[in-house]
Amino acid sequence: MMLQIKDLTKHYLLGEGLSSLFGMSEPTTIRAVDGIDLNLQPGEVLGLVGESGCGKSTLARLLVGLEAPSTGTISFNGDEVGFLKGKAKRAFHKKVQMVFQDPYGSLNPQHTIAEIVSRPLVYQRLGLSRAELRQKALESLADAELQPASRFIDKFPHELSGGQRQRVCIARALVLEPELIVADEPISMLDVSIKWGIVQLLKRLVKKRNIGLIYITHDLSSVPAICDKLAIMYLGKIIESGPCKQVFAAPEHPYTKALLAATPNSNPDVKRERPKISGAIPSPANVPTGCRFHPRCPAATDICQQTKPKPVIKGFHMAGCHFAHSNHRASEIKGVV
Amino acid sequence: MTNQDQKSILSIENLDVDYRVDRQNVAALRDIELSISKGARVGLVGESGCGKSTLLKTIMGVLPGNAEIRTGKVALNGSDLLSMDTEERRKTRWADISMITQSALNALNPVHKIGAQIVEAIQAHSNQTTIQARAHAAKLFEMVGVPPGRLDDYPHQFSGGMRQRAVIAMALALQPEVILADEPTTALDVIVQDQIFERLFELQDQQGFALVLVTHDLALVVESCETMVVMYAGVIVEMGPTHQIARSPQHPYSAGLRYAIPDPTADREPISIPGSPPDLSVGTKGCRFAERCPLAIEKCVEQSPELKSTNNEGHKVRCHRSAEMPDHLEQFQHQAFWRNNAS
Repeated sequence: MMLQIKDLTKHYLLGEGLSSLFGMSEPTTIRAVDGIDLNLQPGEVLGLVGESGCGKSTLARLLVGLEAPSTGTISFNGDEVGFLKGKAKRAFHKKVQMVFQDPYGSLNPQHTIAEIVSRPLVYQRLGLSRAELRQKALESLADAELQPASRFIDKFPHELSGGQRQRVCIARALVLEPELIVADEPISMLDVSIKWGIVQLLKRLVKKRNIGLIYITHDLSSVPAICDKLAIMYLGKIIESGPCKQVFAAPEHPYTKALLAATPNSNPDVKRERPKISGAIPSPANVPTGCRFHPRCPAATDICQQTKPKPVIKGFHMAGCHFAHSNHRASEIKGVV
Repeated sequence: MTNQDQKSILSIENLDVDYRVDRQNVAALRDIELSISKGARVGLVGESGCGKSTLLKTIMGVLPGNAEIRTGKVALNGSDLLSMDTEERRKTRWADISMITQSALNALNPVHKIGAQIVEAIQAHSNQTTIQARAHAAKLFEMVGVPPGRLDDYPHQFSGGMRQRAVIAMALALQPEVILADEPTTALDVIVQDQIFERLFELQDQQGFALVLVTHDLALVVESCETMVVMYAGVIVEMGPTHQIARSPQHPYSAGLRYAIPDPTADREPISIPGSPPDLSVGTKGCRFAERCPLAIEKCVEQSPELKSTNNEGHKVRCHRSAEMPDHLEQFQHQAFWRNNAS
């Protein structure tokens, strides 16, 4: 297993300042990531889906070693990843790279594309000459399908379109030949007509180089076109996961059903039923008792309010719902969501 | 607009708008013809830089200083907005036409209570006393689904979805005849987005205002608007009944947008359109989509197409080869067709 995450949590303490020191207020715990298990093999694409505030970006930061877990472990090729420093951090970033959401904010406007793409090589202190750095940057740009690479390499970010910039970000992530890429909302800021070019590029790279990809998004509809597996997060926890096709064909968790039902369909012949779900995601400082989804769940019962659901697993398909994979009440849930 | 005889509330004729950037003129809007009937729900679809926001700003009269309206007419209930003086124009805003902006956080003043901001908007356009206006604001809050007890909150105390609801409440305050919504939910999560649109459409059915919904989300338009307008690089390339365009797009760009969106019910991969929108600063000739279009021929590069009716139901298209589109529709669903044929 390339990536193995076990019972990972990340809690932040808020309000630890003077007022709590003088007993004026109690610090609150923000449960950003609250017990997550995940696995990834080389050549696999995992889609991590959730609404804003569900902890998916915190999970991404933990994955690339930008934050230390509170408890639990992330192991990459058997080595544990914590908050890394110095040599260990450099060595780790050779294997794991990230692509960010904003192709405008994540490129230094004062650097040329050549400098931007070759910068990870410089940080790695590989002792490459200028010509070698340029050559590597050219190859990497070509891999990101910015053709011809020589036409782009001496430009500045402002001379490129959004899609081209995102390809530069991908080229920068590729230049160290990583084994895992974590892409946080890589297409959400791009125009509709070019989004899928980026998605297909990522997919081709995964297959060609046999690397792992974690694709983080809030847009469930973009997932089937790229992902093999899918994990849905709600308030710091994965509430449903499994093979992409299976989850889409037969979602078990009411939240997954609601997410699917809330997405407009471009096919004029499909009539969508709006989900009957109330409210918005609660604050991670105040996680509800029992099932964390119960205050919004149209099918919640007393047990949901009192007892935390255990993951119900059928094959590779997991759902954290008391009524998952059971015929009991299943029809009822179908009716209301 | 499916029926031209229906009473039109907002009509735009022959509108050209330029921006002056670095001593060069950018052709932001060209030849815009649009008629919106009372109570209609029109979806305006296009990507960044296609001119959809410029069009809304022209209608609202809030274009930036470097913009120049070269020709055209924007008429609300028959009176030309563009020839009004500043004071007349101010009176139409909020009262006759209001706007729901993309970022609710920027639309609200962070140092004033939300209720006070709505009261201010109401009082600027009516003779209501503060007490009356406040009661009105509370009613509006209830309508959009925010507890009226939160009128005295500041914008930062609201969640993103509630802020957007408050902005909708403000847009509804003076019962305008037209509401322009510029990407009203892009910053919001899918479930919240869905809830807000459901409410907005219910309110439209109750109050009968016309709604122009500007978005890049074609699926949303297909689902909710009876009329669709597709813009590309400052021109309208196709408009008409939404279901006609969604089922059988007559312009290659509309087809591209349609098939660039994943459809979970169909087993096909979304496509992407190669290239990027043209530079508008040069005095271009020919079709603006020609360099990205798999059907482009020499005529497309030489001669700009006119917006022509394809039937008597208001379906219009701006393409030299639109008549051949039905034969190519299947091909447009495959990435290879887009890549191989494009120059």
